[in-house]
Amino acid sequence: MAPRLDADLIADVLGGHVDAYGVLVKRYQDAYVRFAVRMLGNRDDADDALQSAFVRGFRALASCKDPNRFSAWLYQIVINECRTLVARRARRERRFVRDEDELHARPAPAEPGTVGDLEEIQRALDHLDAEQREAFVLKHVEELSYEEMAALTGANVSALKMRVKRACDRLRQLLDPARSYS
Amino acid sequence: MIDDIDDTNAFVERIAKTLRTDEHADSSFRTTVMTAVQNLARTEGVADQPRLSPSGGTRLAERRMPRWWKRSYWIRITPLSGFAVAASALIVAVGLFMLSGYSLASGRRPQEVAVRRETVHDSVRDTVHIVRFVFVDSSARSVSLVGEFNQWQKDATALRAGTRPGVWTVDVPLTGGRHEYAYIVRDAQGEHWIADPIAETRLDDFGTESSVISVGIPTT
Repeated sequence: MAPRLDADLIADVLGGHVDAYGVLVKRYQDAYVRFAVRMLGNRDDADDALQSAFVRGFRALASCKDPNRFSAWLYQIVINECRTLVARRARRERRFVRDEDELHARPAPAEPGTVGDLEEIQRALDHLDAEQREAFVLKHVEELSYEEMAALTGANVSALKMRVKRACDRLRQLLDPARSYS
Repeated sequence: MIDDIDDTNAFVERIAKTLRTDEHADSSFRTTVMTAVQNLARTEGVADQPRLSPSGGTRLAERRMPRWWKRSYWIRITPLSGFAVAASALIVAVGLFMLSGYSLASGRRPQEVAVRRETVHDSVRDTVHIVRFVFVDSSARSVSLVGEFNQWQKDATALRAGTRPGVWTVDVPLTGGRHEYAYIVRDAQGEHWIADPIAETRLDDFGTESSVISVGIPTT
């Protein structure tokens, strides 16, 4: 049997069949995990953001104007949820590897591309400004076009390109300081 | 120059390749979400009924515009400012109470009433500021405050009815910066999302209007 369309499932939910939302959750639960983990730097916060995003998605389902584009609509909610969590956390904690010395005092990273250096690269990513990190992850990790990024984030293409460039420069400073200043 | 660009591209690609490592939701993820959704459906109904939007408000088309006698005030106090500020805030609060009482009693329209917002600024952005939200609505049965600071949970921050009829207040600790908020007002006609009529407003991605308060940031 062919999988049911998102729009049909949404119609079911809006008609009172709440369980149909579970099919949507199952369909998209893995789609945004990587984005959330890269944005928030750890799995626990990513799970919180995603759970909250799916619940908010349910609460707002009636305002999803184009049910055939549910995944893009949900992606926007996930992005907003991650932004909120980043902002809240920045105010609350102010503890996350803020000191350049602390970052550089850590063991030198392995050659990028090996499994062992994911943690090191993630730490450098956490060091970026939130907007730059978001733009870098959408562009180079999720591999979206600038037009898709603009539609999701509300920022214009030139601003996004600038954020990505600055993110790349900053990552280079953090992960490959000798080359970045040569 | 071209070598530099190629080098940068290769560097970014190496990093991105590592960051593209797949991540998967926990096996319990769906159950956790659906438990929350089922609870929500039980308490608020299914999603086709008028309900709170992702940011907590009813959709724009469903929302009534604030009635002219609904007004709100807020007063900001920093703990650092000590007794002098507390005394000032008290005077302001009393003044606002008197002001609201006068306008209600006299039936003056709000355009004729000078709405005061007293602000105490502090240069330390991490200072916790106690902000008093005052909402005036004689027909309200209950009023609550929703905002980023309580994750838009509509029952998390209830305003208390004051001794004067229709005056509702709550004190909320806020860090410095901009905070979005709105009031949820329940009266004989139901539950209403009210953006603060005297504050800066913004629309979220879903067309819901919220208010913005700047705490600890000097206004011009």
